Amino acid sequence: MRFRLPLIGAALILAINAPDVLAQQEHRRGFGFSGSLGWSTIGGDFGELLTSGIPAEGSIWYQPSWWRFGISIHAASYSAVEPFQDQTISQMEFQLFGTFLFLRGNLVQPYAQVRAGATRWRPEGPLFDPNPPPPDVPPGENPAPGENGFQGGLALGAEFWVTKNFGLDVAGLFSAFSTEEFDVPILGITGLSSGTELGFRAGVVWFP
Amino acid sequence: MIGAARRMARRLSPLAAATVIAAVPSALQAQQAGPRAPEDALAFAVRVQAPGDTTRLSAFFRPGALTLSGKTSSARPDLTNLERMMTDAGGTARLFDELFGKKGGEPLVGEPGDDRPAGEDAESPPGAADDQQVDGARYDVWGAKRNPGFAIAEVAGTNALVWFFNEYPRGGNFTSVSPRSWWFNISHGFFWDDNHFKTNMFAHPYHGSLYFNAARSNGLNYFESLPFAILGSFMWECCGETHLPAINDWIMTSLGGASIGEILYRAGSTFLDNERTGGSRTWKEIGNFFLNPVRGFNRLTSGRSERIYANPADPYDRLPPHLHNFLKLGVRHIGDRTSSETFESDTTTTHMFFEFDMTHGNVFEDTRRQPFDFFTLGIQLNFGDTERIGRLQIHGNLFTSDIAQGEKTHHVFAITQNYDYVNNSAVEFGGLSYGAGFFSRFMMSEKWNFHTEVNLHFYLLNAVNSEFAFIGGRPPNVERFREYDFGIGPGAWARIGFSHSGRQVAGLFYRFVYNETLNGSDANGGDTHHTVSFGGFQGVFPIGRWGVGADIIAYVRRSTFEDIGFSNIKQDVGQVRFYGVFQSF
Repeated sequence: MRFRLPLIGAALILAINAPDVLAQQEHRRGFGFSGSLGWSTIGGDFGELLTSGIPAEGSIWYQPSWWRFGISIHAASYSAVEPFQDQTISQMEFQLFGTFLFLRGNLVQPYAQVRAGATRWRPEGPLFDPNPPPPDVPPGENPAPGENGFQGGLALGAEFWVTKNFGLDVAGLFSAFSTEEFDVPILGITGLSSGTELGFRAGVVWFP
Repeated sequence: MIGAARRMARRLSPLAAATVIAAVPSALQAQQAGPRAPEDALAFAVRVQAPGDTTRLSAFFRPGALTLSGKTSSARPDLTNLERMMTDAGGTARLFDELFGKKGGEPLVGEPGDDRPAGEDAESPPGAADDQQVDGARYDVWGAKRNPGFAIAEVAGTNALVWFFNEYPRGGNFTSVSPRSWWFNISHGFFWDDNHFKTNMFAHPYHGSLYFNAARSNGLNYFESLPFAILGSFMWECCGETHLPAINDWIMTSLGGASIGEILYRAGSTFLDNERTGGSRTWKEIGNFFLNPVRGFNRLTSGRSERIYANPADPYDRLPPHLHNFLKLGVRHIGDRTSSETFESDTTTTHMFFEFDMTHGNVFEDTRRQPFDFFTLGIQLNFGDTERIGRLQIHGNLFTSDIAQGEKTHHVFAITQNYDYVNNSAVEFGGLSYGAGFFSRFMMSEKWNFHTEVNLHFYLLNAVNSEFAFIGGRPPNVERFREYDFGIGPGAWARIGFSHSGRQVAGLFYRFVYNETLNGSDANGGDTHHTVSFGGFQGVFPIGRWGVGADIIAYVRRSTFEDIGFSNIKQDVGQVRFYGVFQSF
């Protein structure tokens, strides 16, 4: 009942904008942006240490035709397993991606996205960033540096164009990554070097 | 248009003419493909290079005007006239009537009968005097399309770059950001931070200038660009670092960033020349890129850095009618005496310095009075002192209006935005204020005039060096002890100056600032405040554009710490400077 009004509103917006959206999407080309928040779980080696996290992603891309190419920044922090659930491990990824748009020119536009890039994992939280810092670490520098690696993955999703410039985006994500050996001695965990990430994202797409 | 091009072609050598005629259809095709910018909609450019010759000619067409510009490295008899026109008056010429018959019979530049003074800018075709609409899109006077979307993307990109530098090369401990840290920062609100004075009062405003110019160079004006600096700074404070958001950072990055950003935009505009070609154009674009990287990037990626098109028509958008630059190189002797009931220190040092002062526009001229059409800028580099950049002050008019004007007097009112940064071994003072300025000019004779300025302002934030700043208001993730207090308060300055034939020869100034400390030595709610006074006299003996000068400047600080159990501090800093001067105006 309480969702009826927003749903009617959304349907009206879609109905009013549909002709414009359809006219625009079919021949659309140019730069655009997208941003999203999501939820994901970690498997593999890193799954021994981490449970779930909230990733955020921001992208800039160019769409010349049915394809869309761009770069994105993906940032997440994952909670450690009990009893260290207050400590987190952050993940930062720089990715290049290519997206193929199916049914171009429709209000609902499914897509498949292939992505690959660099990944960096780093401990965060009070255990890893003591205050004051250890005497051998100058102020402002990180006492718990991260480890770098590579990752690749796939996203399957759909865009829902609400206006000719603005759409909603929902996708499922899978990626695999490999890093240099990642040790967290303070938690008694060493030698993590690979993992998988499975989750979903929801966000917005914008053709300025 | 084709006919005009052919007529122009007939004036060239047959060899070069063939090239021009060949070039015109492709240019027309480009035009027919749809306008991309106002200059494309109204005009197009053709580049001609005579085969076997190093002569290059660029022709810029628009209804009623043609600009020829280029460089020649060899003199061909059949290009003599064009060559002369191209090299005359900075390499541009107007040929309205010859090619389009709008003013038939008027002689060409440099031809017999042409009485236009050599070097006069009248030869340049008129550019846009205001924003233009083309196909529903708005373009500014520099041909930049109004594009808030790209401005937002560039603001985010700037933050991403700064984050990347701090995370990877620097290995900072505040860059492990994620949605979790974003929510933590947003939910905990604003604090005050403990960064170095230079970081808080200079580096952050410079960072803010990048946000501001992301908008400014995407076709937005001063006030439209301001929210981008405010939002860009908020984006960094909440989401670019794990340190808790700092209110001092937000104020100085956004509003200080707008001050620095606007003067960098204006300074870059004095470099740029859309009608130039070749090496001089390249160097001008590089100079602008160095001053204003975001604008340089936008000009480069949009093709405007190499496209030949008209400069803005209003001189205030490029080279204002009154652009007074003042360069000083010399030595400064500085003495610092700090004392209290229990403490006394007395030091003196002597160092070299370089100073650059700019006055952009004339506050008494009312041809146009948009924000920062009139501003003063002062930069001082100190050699051998604790910091190389010892002073940066920007005072710009946001709104200007005449109060009264007589035969020999003129009084003007202005709302001003003032950014101050003074950082040397004795003094740390900075802030961001808005105020009311009263400017007066008294013409004493044909050559001598006397001008005054009184400014009453309020600091949204100021910072003053303080002996006990470390005892209170420390942030949760303290990494160092701050040596300056943050506060708010009123301020005022008064200046009197004498000029001879437009050259500044003598001046007196006094400035007062009050700092009601909000964070620092106001431990446990105790009342702490500072009063700061600057005063000085300056004299210059001009010899043409050159000259020699000297000034005496005093900085007096009175800090009240009684409420927190410490004795009050008196700091008296005196400075004497001797220097050589170069003035351009």
